[in-house]
Amino acid sequence: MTWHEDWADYLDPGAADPGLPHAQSAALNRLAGRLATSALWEGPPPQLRQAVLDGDRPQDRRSEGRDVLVAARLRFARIRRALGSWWIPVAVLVVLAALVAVAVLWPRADVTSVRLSGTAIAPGAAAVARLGTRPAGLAIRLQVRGLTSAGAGEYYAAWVRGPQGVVPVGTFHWRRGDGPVDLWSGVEAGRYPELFVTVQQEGGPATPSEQVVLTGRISRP
Amino acid sequence: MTRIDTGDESGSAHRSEQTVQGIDPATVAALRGGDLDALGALYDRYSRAVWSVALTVLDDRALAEAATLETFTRVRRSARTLDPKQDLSGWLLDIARRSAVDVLRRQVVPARDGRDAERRVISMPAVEQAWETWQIRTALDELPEEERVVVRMSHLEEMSDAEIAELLEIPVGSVRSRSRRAHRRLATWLAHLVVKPPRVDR
Repeated sequence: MTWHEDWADYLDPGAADPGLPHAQSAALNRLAGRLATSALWEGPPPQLRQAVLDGDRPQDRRSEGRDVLVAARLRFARIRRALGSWWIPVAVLVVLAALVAVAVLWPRADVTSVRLSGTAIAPGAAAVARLGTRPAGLAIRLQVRGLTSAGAGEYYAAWVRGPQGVVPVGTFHWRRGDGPVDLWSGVEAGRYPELFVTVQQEGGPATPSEQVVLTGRISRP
Repeated sequence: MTRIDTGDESGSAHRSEQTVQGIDPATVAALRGGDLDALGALYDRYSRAVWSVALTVLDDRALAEAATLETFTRVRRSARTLDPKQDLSGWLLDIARRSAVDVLRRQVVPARDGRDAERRVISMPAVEQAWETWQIRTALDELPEEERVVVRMSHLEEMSDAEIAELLEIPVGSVRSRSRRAHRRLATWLAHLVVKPPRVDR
């Protein structure tokens, strides 16, 4: 075998060890170590070629970011020195003015609150429903108090009713205490102005039962 | 060109100058004239080696990307001054190494008051380290693809012949023969890394 065949066998993990002198085996071990380095197998990201051909300004992106940071700090320090100490109240006033402008001019969401009262079978119950128009429909968030949790095999169902009929808007069991109940209606509140909650039996019909526990009327959508 | 003394007077251990450079004289001439296609050809041939040097020096991919971009931008700017008889590979390696070092030097950490800057303590990479990386990477790039894949799997992924065969869906014997051929090429091309330390003529 020639010398480079011996070296090749030594480098080749699958070949038999040819038994080389120490100096050569040490050098080849170092070479084999380099071959196991990922830097020798990776390449630049594909988009870099176009950047090279486009003649992009070479920038170390990290230093670029740091340069910007340094420049901003220097600019800020110069402004601070120029303004002295009175810039703080001026800045506070500007921020307050901006906040007031935002509070006044910010468009309000179309939200309506509806109070629901407990009926004879749930006299201690009450709720406030906040209705908000969303792209997908009418979001109804129900804040309930005084309502007992649904019994075994039972659940609460919320409905809206109008001249066209009754539409379900969601169910809940209220077994883990308070917290808002989020309901959704796919019909307009203006055409279904009545909002009420019933007790339903699991496996029962998908229509409102006679057991109404909360009821209210939406005056404005 | 960068002369490498391998101690092998027969020259059998050397790739030819054409193969080493991988760029024909017409392309070099076009590069000197600012031709973008020539720059693209140079990039296609050497960008991986430049990347390997940058990553070896900087140990950070974002910085290596910046250094690679800077290398070829400098090539573009200084191509006019390239001597057609000059070793293109050595010239490019020199630019790549300097670009990587410059990127490293620019890693400035600003102080909070914005007035002073603290320089990160940097250790200059050895010339030999970059040179060796360049030599190995250009050799790997010259291997036929089917052999390079096997070498990568066996060294980088530490896969056995049987595992490689299963993954590539080829017989184990084919893996063995490809590996043998590839390692013989590498042993020949990289003999100067084994025989004695390189002597670089500048």
